[in-house]
Amino acid sequence: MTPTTALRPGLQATGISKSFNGNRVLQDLELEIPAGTVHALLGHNGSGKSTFIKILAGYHEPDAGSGSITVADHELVFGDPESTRAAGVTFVHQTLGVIPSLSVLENLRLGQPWRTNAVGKIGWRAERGMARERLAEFGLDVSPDALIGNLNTVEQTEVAIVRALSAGDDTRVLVLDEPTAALTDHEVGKLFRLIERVKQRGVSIIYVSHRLEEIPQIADALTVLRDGRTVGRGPVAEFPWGRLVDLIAGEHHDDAGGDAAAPRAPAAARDAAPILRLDGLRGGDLRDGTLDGRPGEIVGAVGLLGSGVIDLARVLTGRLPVEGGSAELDGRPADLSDFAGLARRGLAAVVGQRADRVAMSLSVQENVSLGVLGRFFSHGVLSRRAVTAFATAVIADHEVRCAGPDVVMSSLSGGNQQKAAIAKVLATGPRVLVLEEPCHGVDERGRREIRELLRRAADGGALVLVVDSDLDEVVGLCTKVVVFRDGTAVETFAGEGMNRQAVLNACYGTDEQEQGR
Amino acid sequence: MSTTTVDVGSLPADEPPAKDRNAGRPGVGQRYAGVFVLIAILALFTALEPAKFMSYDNVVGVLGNSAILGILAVGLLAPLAAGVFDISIGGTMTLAVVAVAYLFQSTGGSFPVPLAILVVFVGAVGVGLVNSWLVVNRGVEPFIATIGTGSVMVGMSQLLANGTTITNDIPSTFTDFGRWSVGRIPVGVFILLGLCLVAWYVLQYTPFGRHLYATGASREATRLTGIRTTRVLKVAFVVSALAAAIAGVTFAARLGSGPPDIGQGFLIGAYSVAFLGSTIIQPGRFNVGGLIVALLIISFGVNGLQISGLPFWVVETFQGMALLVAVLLGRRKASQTP
Repeated sequence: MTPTTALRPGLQATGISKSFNGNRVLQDLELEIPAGTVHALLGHNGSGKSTFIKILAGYHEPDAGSGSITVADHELVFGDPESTRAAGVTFVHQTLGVIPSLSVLENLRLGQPWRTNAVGKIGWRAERGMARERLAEFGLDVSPDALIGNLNTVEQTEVAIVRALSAGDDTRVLVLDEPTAALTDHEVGKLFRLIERVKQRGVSIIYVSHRLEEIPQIADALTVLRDGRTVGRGPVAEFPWGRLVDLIAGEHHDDAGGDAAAPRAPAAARDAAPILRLDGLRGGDLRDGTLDGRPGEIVGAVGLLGSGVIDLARVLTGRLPVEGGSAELDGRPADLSDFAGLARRGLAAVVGQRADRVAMSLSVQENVSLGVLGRFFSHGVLSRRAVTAFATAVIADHEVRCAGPDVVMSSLSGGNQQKAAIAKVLATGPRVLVLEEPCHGVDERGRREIRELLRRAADGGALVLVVDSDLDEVVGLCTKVVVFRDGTAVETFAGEGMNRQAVLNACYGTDEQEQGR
Repeated sequence: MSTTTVDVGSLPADEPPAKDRNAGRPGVGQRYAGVFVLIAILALFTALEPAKFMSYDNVVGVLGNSAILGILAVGLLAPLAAGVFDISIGGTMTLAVVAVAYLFQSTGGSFPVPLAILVVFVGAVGVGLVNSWLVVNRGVEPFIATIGTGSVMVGMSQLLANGTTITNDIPSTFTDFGRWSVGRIPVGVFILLGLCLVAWYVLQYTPFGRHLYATGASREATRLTGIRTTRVLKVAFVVSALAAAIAGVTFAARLGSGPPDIGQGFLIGAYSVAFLGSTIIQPGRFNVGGLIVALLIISFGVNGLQISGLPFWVVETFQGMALLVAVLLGRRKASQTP
């Protein structure tokens, strides 16, 4: 596991801290990654991993008084992406940044000058030859002329990694951010062989992943972050599975509920027939979406990044085609490609993308009244006064803070836009409300208010389904939590059995791992 | 409160709502700037050419000439409000002009006038449905799809007209309709006013008008509110095609012939009027009031320049510049909104 070569200095970070608005998100981070080793950076959403990566990239500047980051004994200038690049630090993000409609060769050459002759013609033959050589060097079996879009995900990831390295052989540090989130086990093995080759070149690799089972296979050492603090650091062998999960999860105290008594659905709800029933629903990364929900319940569908849970929301809202399985709304089959038809039967949704929740260029009142305009249309005239009165009441009732009902939606803050989006669909009196990451990017106050809106909707007899990749958004709010892993609904929690630790274990698949050992 | 859930890697944190009470509301100056421009144009040319510009004949002439352009532009409001381009209106208008004349010519002038008009209108509905099918069902970019259908219709017009202008056997009932006027104000002006009234009513006072604007502002947010945006787009394409057919029939009746190349010339003008209009009265929104002001700015602007001695090339230059000014004004507004 430890490279046989002497430990040459790779990346060294000392005393890195970062605060946003007085909120400490990274505290005194220390990292030492010798050349030719893989260091796993672990932690839950918001633990500070991505903040550190953004500091390393020069996107954020650390707080004053922070120590330094050196790469091969060369100190980085904070907040200067050029300095990071010059030091030989490259990044492969989860989104890869490859362009599907271009060839492998064109992708490899993105951002670099082509080799051209005197009249500016690209030397295609030479370029192709060099690309082929480069790909072979890393054991990649893809043609330089293949379109990236025709490759599978692992091949795309491999090309992205080779591209990151082919900026010259002076790459010292490679940051891999969730490279395996979308890969199958077999593909992960393939990717690891490439990472081994990269290691042998003396590159220090920072490896960010939610898939804990991979860590012993690929990493030499690891750092666990929680709430910005380093809670574990050392060689991988010192961190057996159970300890790792405990460190990541930690003790958790949440005002909104957390480990306090789990919310319970009203008694009436427990007896009612399910209003939404999904059976083996498939589409996108979702392989087996099976769950049901009754009126008055708040159901959370949760899973880590790459678990396919977000695609559940996309399939339900017709944003991804259904590839199999069935959905029933109120006991009758639901055609998920016809959202408007389902909306008439009581389905409503608030999706994750801001621009798709509300119409930014329309006024607040035009947005919140959009689904119920028929109510204000009588004798052939849409009564603007009635619309304004309605919107004013909705704004007050849902605590949407804005200068008035006639201001454009884009002048509101993100949290208030989100409340307006929820108010808009609640106005239609939905019986099933699906929300995709409803509190993502919303501040604490907005988050509390949004949770309150959802509780009220459930108390009013609606089924609320919250689809989220952050379990802290659902535990404490939901009366029932369904955990998704590998696109499959694997476990359901309700009542006494539901606590943060148990849900987290299910997200990471801890129980099965322990049984397997 | 726990910081575990603060995802700093995501969107910017919740910023406080704008302090300015008027943030997000257009000011009076912004709303009526176009009206002042119109008054300035009228005053300027009245001062420069008092005898010719403000004469009754000239004013009525300008209104008559701009009516066709206005009819085309008011129909264009529907797709533009819904956020899609319809470039085929020029082709639709050309085909309407030629088709109505062809019906008369091929029957020796015995084809009933109302039936001929009806046939053209039904054809226009078909054109709108084809456009909507391409865009909604096949996912083709509206701009490209309607360039294609528009070009096909221009070609079909040339086929029908056999490359020349159809002038034979146009019944006098048809030309009487086209040349009918009240106080020398031609029929086209009244048709335009009627259509403007309908468009204004639909856009301002019906849920469908709101659905059009919402679809244009965010098709996905509108769809997820339970509105059938596919149907909204279908109606929008049918409306613009129908308006183009009305413009074509009115034009052919006034002219008494069917030239196979007329509609494309109106295309840029219609877009200039619609876009310039979207910066007036209700800035940032395709609206009827703004459209009328913009139509008058362009028509009287071109007319004044021509009276002042500028030659033929001034028409398209002025229209093109109006379009650019409108788009730049729209951009400035967009960049001011947070």
